[in-house]
Amino acid sequence: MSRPTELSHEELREGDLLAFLDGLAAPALASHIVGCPGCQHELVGLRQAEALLSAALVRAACPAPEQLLLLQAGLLAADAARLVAAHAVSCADCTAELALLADPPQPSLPGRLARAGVRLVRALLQPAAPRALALRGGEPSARRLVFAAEGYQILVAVAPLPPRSGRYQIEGQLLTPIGTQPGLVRLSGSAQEERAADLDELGFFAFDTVLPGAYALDIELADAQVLAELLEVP
Amino acid sequence: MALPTMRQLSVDEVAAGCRDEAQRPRRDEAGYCFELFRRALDDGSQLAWQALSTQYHVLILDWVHAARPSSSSDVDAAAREAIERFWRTLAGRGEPVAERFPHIGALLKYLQQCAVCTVLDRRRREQRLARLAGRLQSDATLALATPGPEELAVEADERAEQLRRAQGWVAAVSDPAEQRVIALSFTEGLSPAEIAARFPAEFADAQAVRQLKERVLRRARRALIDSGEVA
Repeated sequence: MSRPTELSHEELREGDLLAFLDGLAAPALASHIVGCPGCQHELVGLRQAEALLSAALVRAACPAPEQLLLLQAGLLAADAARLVAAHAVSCADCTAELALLADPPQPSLPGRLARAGVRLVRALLQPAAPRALALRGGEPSARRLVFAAEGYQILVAVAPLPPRSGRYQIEGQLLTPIGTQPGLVRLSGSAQEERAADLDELGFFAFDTVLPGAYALDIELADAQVLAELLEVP
Repeated sequence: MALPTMRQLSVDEVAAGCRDEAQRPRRDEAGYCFELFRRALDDGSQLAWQALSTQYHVLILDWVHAARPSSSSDVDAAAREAIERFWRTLAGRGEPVAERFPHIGALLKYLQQCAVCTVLDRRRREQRLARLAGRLQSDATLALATPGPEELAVEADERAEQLRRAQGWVAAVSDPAEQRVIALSFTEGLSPAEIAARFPAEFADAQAVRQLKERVLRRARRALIDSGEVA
């Protein structure tokens, strides 16, 4: 049906304002809308509603993150799991979220310690251990190392144990700027599972039957974490 | 692991054992932390639950940070939400915790996944807020005065609430044709002409789609905007 060249407000039909917004209004319709305060007011309202619904429905077709979590953990009922999995296969956003749930990022050590109010001290391997340093039970054949930073020193002796067994003993002592402190020493590396030992009252610690490999010593004190990386055994 | 003996311990004793255990390598664990989870989930012990919340709060905060939330301002709330989600999704399943989670590592992995899930929820919310802000800013006639810094946080909360109400409003739309136009227009981003071309059996032409869409928008405006200004 053709429309008159001049339109009154009452002659507007549902959908005309959206046609104008889409740039598809006939000249008479466009002319009316441009000059009509009522239409202009309505247009603002429609655009606001459009903006609101458009934002509210971002990823509305996607399952909620909790559905992805339950799918990942095998906690979703079979029917629901099929639906969620079928969607995820064709949705790059959900696939990425599932990957993040499957393999969550691990916290960085410096960030973790900073939030806990604990200082991280990275003790570096010193060029050569002073001969005067003696460790309890240190064997003559032991390899001696010193890691140091910010007034902290970790003295380490790595000794074969027993001969030709292929295993080693690590003995060490932590010296701190404020004397001995209670603490926990962790030895971690790719060759063996992480192990832990307490610092004794003089700051000594020991690990037996250590396999050859690269290790890190991580000493947890009340207000600091002293880290000695790249401890090579033997 | 001597569970019969463990079960005779008080929650405080188990919690103390868990604190000590958490400092040690996993192979040295005696099952205190697992027992705390078991009491919270299987026995419904509030004391065990409180002990768990305290014990793992800092760890959950670390996990939330590691998942890179878009805003660091509500990390504490996110951590609380994560442990609530853990509880809500596991408690009352009628399945002993040991059947699904054979060891403490499996339980902690799920708890970490709950923390990530909470961050994902927030990211999606941020995406919606950014879309709304972008649409409002791109149209000078819709943008109001630029808010000051202290008004921004309040504004974000108000907009988030408005978006939540909009989602509820859309969910309550019962007319199938309107539902279709809403989904195709706002979720898939199709124009009326594209909708009419793709679904000729449902919509005679683009004008028919515009008619429905405008009807929906007018109702949405009355329900969601006239009752309180956008932004």
